[in-house]
Amino acid sequence: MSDLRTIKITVLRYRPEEEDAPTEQTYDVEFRDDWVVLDALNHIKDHIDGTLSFRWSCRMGVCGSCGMMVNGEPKLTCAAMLRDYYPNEVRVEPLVNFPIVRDLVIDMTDFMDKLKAVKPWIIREEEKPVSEGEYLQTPDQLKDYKQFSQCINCMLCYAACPVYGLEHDFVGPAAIALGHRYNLDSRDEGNQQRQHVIASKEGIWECTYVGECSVVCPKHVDPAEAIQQTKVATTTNRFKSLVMPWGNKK
Amino acid sequence: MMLDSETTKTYTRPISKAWWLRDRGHFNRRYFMFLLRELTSVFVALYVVLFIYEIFLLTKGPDAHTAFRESLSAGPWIAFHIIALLFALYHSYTWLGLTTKMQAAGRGLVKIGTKTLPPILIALGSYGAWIIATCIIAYLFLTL
Ligand code: SF4
Ligand code: FES
Repeated sequence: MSDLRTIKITVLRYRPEEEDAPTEQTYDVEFRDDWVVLDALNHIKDHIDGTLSFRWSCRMGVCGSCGMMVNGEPKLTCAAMLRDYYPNEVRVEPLVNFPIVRDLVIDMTDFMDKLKAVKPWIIREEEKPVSEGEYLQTPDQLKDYKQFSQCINCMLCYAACPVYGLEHDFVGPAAIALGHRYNLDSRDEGNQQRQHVIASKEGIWECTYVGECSVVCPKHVDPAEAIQQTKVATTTNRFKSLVMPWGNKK
Repeated sequence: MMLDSETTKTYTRPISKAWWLRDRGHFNRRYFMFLLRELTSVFVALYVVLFIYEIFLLTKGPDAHTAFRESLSAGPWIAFHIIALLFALYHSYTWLGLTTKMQAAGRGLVKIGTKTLPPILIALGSYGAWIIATCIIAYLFLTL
């Protein structure tokens, strides 16, 4: 198809060795009907301006590395069709609530630290030897956490969360959802080890339920839901252990 | 990519004070409704102060109390009560609506056997309990 149209793409640029604050740059991009915002960025990099920096990898919504603000909304740029914005111009900025390293690339160190803190892996009190085989699970047990395991660490939810923007200590949506995912896993025994991170003031209790994280999540993980579930579960557990201190099984 | 934040020069964008009104140039209804929900507590708190004051006046004898009640029928007070009521309704409605969130996915918290109770039933149950409790309190207030 040769139905080329031209769209204006304005990109936030930040070149730390040249400038102290970000500036803007606008490019005219001829695009085909099936192009996404990421295609336009790649076109700019390949044909117009090789100095533009951004992250991407899979171009199919799995790797979670192409998240940026598109016209003010956190989006996977490989899933944002240009034709949905045309004839208006498209504004691309790095994910908000994170420091900018260069152009559209953000510093994700804070998110990685928080992710690590919730220990998103299966914890066993005692590992059984490989010779004893796998830890088995029924389809029903898988259903318990499956939705929360779909997270691709794209950080769109952190960009959508005003609480994280204002309060950087907040563990944040995806990390809590992933901690919750392992807490719900029938093979896991690490609930106690995650509690001091998840059920803390900087954890679930920092969340005031704006709900925007769940709206922007491209994988329908619904982190807001994970947080609400954890709030109720933590409160009931605490209540139970107050009323029946001997019945603390978990 | 992990960075050494000590040595890498990064740029942190400031957050506008009006973030809840305009989100990078676009109006975000959910941010706005969220702030409105936070604001409801101010009106609820004011109402509670007023209510405690009224109870306090009861200790000062029936005349003081009646005079106070009569002064409440002035226009601005009625307006305040209507606003406080709307805010209280909005807050309760959204708060109880959250109960669906503990059910919707994964391991719902309310279960019968292995079946998770559908979220809509939980919501209807909470709204139902709310309405019944309101009716009982209203009945007690109006008849006692
Ligand atoms: S919860 Fe959703 S929005 Fe947040 S990092 Fe995971 S996939 Fe991305
Ligand atoms: S490039 Fe992998 S999610 Fe967009």
